[in-house]
Amino acid sequence: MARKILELKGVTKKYGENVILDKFNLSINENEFVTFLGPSGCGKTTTLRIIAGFETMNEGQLLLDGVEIESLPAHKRPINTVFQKYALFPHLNVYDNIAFGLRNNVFSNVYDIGAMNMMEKYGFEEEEIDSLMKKLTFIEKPKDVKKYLIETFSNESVTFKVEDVFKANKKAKTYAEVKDEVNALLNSPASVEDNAPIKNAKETILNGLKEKDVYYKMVTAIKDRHFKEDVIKEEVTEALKLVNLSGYENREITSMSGGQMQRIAIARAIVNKPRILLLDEPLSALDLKLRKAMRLELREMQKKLGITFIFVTHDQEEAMVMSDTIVVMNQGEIEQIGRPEDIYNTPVNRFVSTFIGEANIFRGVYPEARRLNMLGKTFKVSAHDFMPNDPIYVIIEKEDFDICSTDIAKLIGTVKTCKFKEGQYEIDVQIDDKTIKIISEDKLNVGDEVGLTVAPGNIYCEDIKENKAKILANFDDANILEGTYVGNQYVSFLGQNFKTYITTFIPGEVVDAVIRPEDFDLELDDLSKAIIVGTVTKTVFTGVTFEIWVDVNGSTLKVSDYQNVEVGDQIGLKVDFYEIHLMKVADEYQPLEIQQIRAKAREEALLESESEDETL
Amino acid sequence: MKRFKNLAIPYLVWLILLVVVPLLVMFVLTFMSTNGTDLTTAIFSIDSYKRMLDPSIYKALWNSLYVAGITVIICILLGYPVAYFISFSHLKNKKLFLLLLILPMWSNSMLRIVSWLRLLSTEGLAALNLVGTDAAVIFVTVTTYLPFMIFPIYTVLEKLDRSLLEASADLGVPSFKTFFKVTVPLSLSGVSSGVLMVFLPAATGFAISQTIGQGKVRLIGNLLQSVFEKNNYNFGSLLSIFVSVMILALVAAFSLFGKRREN
Repeated sequence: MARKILELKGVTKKYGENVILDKFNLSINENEFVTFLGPSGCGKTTTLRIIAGFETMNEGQLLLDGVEIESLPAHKRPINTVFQKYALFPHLNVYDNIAFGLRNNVFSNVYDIGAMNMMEKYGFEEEEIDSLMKKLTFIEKPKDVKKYLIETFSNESVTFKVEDVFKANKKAKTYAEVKDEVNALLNSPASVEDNAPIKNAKETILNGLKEKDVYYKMVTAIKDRHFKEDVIKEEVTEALKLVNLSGYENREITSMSGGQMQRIAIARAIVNKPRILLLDEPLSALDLKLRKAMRLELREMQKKLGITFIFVTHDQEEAMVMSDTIVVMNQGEIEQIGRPEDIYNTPVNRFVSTFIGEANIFRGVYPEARRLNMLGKTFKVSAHDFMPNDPIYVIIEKEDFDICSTDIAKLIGTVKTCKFKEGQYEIDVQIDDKTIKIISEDKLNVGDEVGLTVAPGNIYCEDIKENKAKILANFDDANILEGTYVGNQYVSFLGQNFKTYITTFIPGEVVDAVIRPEDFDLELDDLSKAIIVGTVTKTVFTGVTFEIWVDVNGSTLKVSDYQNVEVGDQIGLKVDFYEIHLMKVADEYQPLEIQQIRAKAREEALLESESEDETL
Repeated sequence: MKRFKNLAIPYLVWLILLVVVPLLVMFVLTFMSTNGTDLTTAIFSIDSYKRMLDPSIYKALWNSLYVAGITVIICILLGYPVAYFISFSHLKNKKLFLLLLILPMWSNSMLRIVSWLRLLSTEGLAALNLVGTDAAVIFVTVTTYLPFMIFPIYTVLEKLDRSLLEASADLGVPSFKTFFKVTVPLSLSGVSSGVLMVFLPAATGFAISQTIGQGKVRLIGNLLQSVFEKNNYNFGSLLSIFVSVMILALVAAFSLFGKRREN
């Protein structure tokens, strides 16, 4: 179940009379890729700057993990930013730029990280590490963390205890005098003769202990004056590896290209292990090719790091390709929150549909391997990880359409408008009832026929029913029920069959059925009209609605409604078939036959694409 | 571009006539003994070089470096905060404040120096016996050259990308530490040009030390002036060349240091 990490409640920002954000409410989940999408001046960057702590708000609350952080200055928030123009320090090299936060942060967690790395290295249990880390989060200053670590580890270390025994018995001449005390501390008696001089005995025993005592080793390491720099070095190297820039440590910032600076800016932010990474239009300064590559890389990075990314952009394609959740903003208000496919399939108002419509996004079907049916034509595509007849949506950049003569063109349309902008022509081409935006070096006459082609590699396909592992902002506390696709638009869960709008699963496939609490309707009078019957176990009044927990054959459903019911009541629930959403479930949870069918289809698709590669 | 080359000829002539030739003449003069600039009675002599051994020269040189050095340090300490606060303030008209700073420079510098002398000699202040001391000379030098420190620093601070400071705060660094880790290193180029612009005139000037120092504070400039006043062009030339070389060496060392720091 997704957990809320950040909440904005009634956030209002004004510059004089000018209202930038008006009672803005939003909650963002852990480990989610959220995009603020909107035209310039819609307040998306201001929202980001408020979250980062660079702007104050006039009204409202900002909660991180349920704790108010509005009063914390930027440097105390566990949130890092990748700036639009990177804001790398020109007087420092790549290494020092990335190490800047770890070195200079007053609440630097270098010692925490160092201790964690060492404990992992010495094979401590995860629980043990976690419990220590939890204790460390309450200690603010790095100096105190260091002290605490040395103390804790020293108390665990046998070497120090034995050393203390020898110290306490300074006057002893032979080992026999301290033997009992020492052996009481050791697991097995030390193999030192009783009449050995105490000095030799001490040396032998301590040297033997030091070799095996991991606590002793950790204490010595932490006490070492290079410890902090060593940890920083490890972390910086790791961060550089993550952004594919290993070996660039000593380069000057001024000698780096735009794409490299972008990566360094990301490394500099993530090396501090923030809870949330904010990205302020970080791709806008890159050229198209690099931008596309970076999109995928950022997406991968977010998955790998498992932290929340909040990404700001005005580019619809970018938002559609990268996000788990898109927040469409306009004039300081949220127009719609949803998964990319929701935003595209069911825009809630005219603004969203027009704004998203400006992008070249199309509906299509994947008829067979490496083919796409779209706009009444069949295209070759390079994507091959879909099932035949999967519904997909397709994104093509304006720059990726090539103009060609009409007899070899895939698409033929009429030029609707042709505007000159920044050295290029932006052209709207009407094809049937869809307008496509293209960019051309040459001017085209309005009303002319024009032929278009697209290279297979430039067609981006996304599965409409793709399983996003995370539950998205508007599916915040949705009910997720394990079910099986029966076939013929029926799905079974809670021991019953339900009709659904989705057709594209294989009969027998395990799916997750998702129903939002507010999509249930209560049926209190005639239980036979209800499709689900259960017992009320708990109700809570939230101020507007009642949240009702209903037990149905041992599973609990959460329902939200305006009317209240009594705990213990039998109630009926209704839900419309189009409100039962199904999500794909990973192969490992599928029955064997389904796994085989899926694997086979994938293999065939791959084979076909390979043979096609040969013929091309 | 070629036809514009001809436009540079007047400047070349200027340079040759007024810089290169005089330097050569000075160099030749150092090996002679002449009566003023009258070359008809000139004879070969290395008397000038012998006089260079006089310890009073090195005393004056040391005084110059000392006065100029202290002046530079005080100018940095006073000028950096002024430049910083004007640049980082939310004032609508920063230019106005800068204008106020340079306003006194519109009057003749000699007038200002003499005014300071009068001020320091007024009844109340005279009791402090400031006139004729190093402190008074340094004080007046600072007031004269402070704007030359403020301006280059201000220019660099104005150009400093404010998002770098936000980035530093974002990385968990509080503002006073950001100042030393980001603002100062990135404004050092302004400080170093300020240092040159203050140090050179402070070390070589003679008006302030003569007027405020009352002959008790002898800098290299005063020495040069008195030598030329006595019509000794031979020793004067040698001393001038010596001072030029010293300054050149200092500037070279300074910029070399700056370059090494950058790398």
